[in-house]
Amino acid sequence: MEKIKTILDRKPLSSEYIRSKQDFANVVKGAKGLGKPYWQTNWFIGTVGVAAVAIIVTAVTLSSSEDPKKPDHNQVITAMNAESQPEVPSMVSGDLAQIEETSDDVNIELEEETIAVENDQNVPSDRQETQTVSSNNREEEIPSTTVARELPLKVEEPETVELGLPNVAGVTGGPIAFKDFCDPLGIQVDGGVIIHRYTLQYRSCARDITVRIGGNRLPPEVCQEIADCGAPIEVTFSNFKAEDRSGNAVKLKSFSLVTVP
Amino acid sequence: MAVNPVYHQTNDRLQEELVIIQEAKDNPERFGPLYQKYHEQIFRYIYQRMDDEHLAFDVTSQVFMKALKNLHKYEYRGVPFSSWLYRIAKSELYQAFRDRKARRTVNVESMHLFEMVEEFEEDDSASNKKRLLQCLSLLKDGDLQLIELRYFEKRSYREIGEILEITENNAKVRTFRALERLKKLFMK
Repeated sequence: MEKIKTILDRKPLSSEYIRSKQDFANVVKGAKGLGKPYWQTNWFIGTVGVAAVAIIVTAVTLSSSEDPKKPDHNQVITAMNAESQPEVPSMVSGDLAQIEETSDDVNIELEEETIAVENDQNVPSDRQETQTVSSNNREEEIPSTTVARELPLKVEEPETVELGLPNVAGVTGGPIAFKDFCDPLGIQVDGGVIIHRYTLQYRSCARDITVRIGGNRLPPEVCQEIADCGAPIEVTFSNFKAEDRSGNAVKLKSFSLVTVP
Repeated sequence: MAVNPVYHQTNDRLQEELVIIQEAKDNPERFGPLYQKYHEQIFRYIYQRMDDEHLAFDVTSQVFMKALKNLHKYEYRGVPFSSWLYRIAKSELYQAFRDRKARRTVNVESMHLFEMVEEFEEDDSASNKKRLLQCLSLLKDGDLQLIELRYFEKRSYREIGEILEITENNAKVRTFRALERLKKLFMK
């Protein structure tokens, strides 16, 4: 604010003079004319609201169209991570409470495998209904007894075992020497699976980084940044978009590597 | 210290005022008596803080327009209607300063300066008065406001509290502290 101005002994105004300046009619008229500011008017709020909703809907639509298309249940081949396999027998043991307590990821994968087996074996119509359950409420609608009954079948499923795991220079998880990590061949999968896109997450010395990468190779900038950091860094590869030789979508498990300088 | 008779009213007067306000909520034309009653004191409050007379009249009109426009929001809280008008006036006044339409001004009478210099137990010399004027312009706005309300406009602590939306005791304490700060500046 500007410096305050001081006035000493200003000539006072008389009450008569002030009264003569009263104009109530003008005040009433002015009060009627005082509208809301434009940002408080209905048309403005409405326009901004509609525009905001349109932007959000567009953004959501665009971002969902970038996600890999969810494959058909009949074509799903799940590459089981070696770490998750030991969990299967404990669930097969029939403890339904344990099944309900396991994470969402595990539940969904188990179910996909179950469905694949059901299709192969032409199960009766009452079991076929389980395929039509939407992905949002699978846990609630699939009877737990069905899950328990089907679990032994999935262990015998041959396709899961054959595919192999995504790896970098043959390493599928845990520590990896830095020179191997920056292998020019990038992420490899046995069985002729081609990786089109994947998400890379790591915490460099300065920041958390999540980046969506096209192809199966590791960008040189990432290698450089990790090399510059000079400390062990955990790098997670996830959200793969991949196809087998026939062009069918393949679901690959996420995996993490820890670079050793 | 003398008490402002227009501000301090009996319960009956406050109730009469409330009836007018209720009527004016339905019919703005009924607001006339309140406008006539409070126009002068609101104008003087504004004019005391700015140097442009015409702008002071404009801001006063704006205060009553806003009051009339928002009369439906007014709630009686046992204090005179003018305390609500003062709050609108304060807001409009600072809006005028922000818009750079007006400049913050302190209008002081020689008598007030004399009283303050005496309060500081200093000589009533011309140089002291000049120094006090300079110190006033260096005060923070919150302190200056309290000094103005209490020592130049001779308002009671209760009235000051109602205008500034603080308790009477708080008004007393803050005014005392503002005076202390002014004294400190003056003694430097």
